Amino acid sequence: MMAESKFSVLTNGILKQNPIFIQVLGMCPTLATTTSAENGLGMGLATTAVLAMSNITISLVRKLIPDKIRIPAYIVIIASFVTMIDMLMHGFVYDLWKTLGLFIPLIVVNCIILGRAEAYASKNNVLRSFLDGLGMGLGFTASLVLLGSVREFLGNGSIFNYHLSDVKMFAMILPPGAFIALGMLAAFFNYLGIRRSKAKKAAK
Amino acid sequence: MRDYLKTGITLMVITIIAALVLSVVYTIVEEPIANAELGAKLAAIRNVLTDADSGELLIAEESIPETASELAEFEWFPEGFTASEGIIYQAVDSQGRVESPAYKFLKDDGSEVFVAIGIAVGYGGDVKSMAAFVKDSDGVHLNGIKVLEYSQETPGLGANIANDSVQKRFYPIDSQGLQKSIKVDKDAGVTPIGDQIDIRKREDGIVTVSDVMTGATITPRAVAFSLNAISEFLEKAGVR
Amino acid sequence: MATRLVFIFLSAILINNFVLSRFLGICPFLGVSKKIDTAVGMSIAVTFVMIMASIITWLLNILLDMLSIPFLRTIVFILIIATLVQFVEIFLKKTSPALYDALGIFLPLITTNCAILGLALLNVQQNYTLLETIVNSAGAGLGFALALILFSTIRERMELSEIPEPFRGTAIALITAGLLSMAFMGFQGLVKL
Repeated sequence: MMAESKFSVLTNGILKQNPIFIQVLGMCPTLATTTSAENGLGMGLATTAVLAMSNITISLVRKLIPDKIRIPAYIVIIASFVTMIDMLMHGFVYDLWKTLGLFIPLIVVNCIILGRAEAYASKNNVLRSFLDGLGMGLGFTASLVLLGSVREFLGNGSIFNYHLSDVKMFAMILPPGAFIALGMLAAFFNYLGIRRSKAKKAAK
Repeated sequence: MRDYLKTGITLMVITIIAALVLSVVYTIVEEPIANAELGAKLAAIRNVLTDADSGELLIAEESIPETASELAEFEWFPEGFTASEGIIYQAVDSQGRVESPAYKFLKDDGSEVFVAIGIAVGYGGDVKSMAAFVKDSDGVHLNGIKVLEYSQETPGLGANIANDSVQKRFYPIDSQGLQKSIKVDKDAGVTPIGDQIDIRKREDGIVTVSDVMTGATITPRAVAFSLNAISEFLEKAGVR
Repeated sequence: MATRLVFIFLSAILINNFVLSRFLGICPFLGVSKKIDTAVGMSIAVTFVMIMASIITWLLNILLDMLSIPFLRTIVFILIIATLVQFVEIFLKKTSPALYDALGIFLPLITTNCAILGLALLNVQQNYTLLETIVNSAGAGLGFALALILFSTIRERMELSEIPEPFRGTAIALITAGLLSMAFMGFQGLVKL
């Protein structure tokens, strides 16, 4: 059986196994931080950083951790990176830290990170784990920006603070809007997936 | 039994390594964090010491503190108050508190400007606001505020308190407005519009935010509580 | 004092429901709500962990502040939660193997339930006393239970409905959750501090 190419490891997280729409992981931060495209982008990038670093570390030490305590061990490692990113940002990019203030601790409980640690980094070498983390992170970020843009556009008439329309459905920025927007997007992606598999079947 | 012991110890080792790494990072970032916080505080002081109506600095440009030691010269400790755990005053209704130390500046004409940081609990944590109160012949009025800390409020909702346009709704407030206690329009039961927004604010202490912060009353209410705490503190200290 | 406690309690259950307003605990909310039985079991487990974890983390936080190591808060808190969940797992395996099997992977995943860590951090950030913490945690657990059980009753009924193909599964669940969230918004302003 041929090993996946490194490139496909990277792109896996963006479409085929998109963490939000396909794997349905990382819901909490997704719904909470997508009140605007900019917030979604910030959260996505911070999460990607933690994902990449934790995947690398866990892959490095995967043979040293006994199976029984691997979950708590992974959690400690992930929590450490999140704390580290929080402290470093606080000290060196203060204004950006101010904007992302609430999001950073939320990264700890993003099931995507633990999910990838368990499903991939604990079983693959460092380079592939890094690529996997990066890919999942990019997929996550893209999804967040998409959802954030939809909510911002419908709720505030803008995208990335660039004013586009005067239609403002405020409910989109509130919790119900988050659920519904994500649900509609999920249905849309499902629809695309169904069409693709129907086309494949017809082609046979 | 031995199995549990082994796993327990391994986990402990990992935690200790993590704690050590973090301690190292902490000592590295301690200073930059303090500098960043100080920078923000000094910028806020410059901001609140700017006259709300004329846009000019209330005190001479050279007097504006630019380092921690310069700032320390303006520290003000009124009689009868002791700071405990960084707090110098707790509001009577316990909704807000005042951070220690407070500061006092002098204008060229001799009138005093009191600057303090008020804290109240918002949606997810503390909301801190710095405020400048000017004491002149007409009494004490609120000149300006700068919300310093709001990082636990909901992005897109409570966190909009960060916008200058929203914060401007809170100042200036005349002495009669302060006397009536600052309230957000929802708590006051009225919704001023147009010109009334500014008038009700100055004279009655009614802060209109429901149009710019729809669906997020807790955060601006926290700011109102913290400002009232400072106002009360000044009253107890004999300034008002 | 008592009114403040009542407010905290009501706020956690209804006004700022942890799942439907604060977006904490969504993963189990979506994952365990297909059947009412598992929903009830999960709710009890989560409420228990929430209350115990909140008390322990609240006490430990005092220690962390005393030792001037606040930056270790996240790690310490989550380790406490992980340990508590481990105990719950062992306990459930012995007393109710059926429930243990039904909950499956979601039982250890209680550790990463953002609602528990979020609750622990909120208690500390909002400077609650120990009593207020307990009341808040009980409210949070009940609020989670309420949302989860309500949701599972709806989902069980949806199993019998004709749902267009793209919407089946997660999509319709999310939209339903949105409607439920909208309903809960009606509780805003129920109690004023």
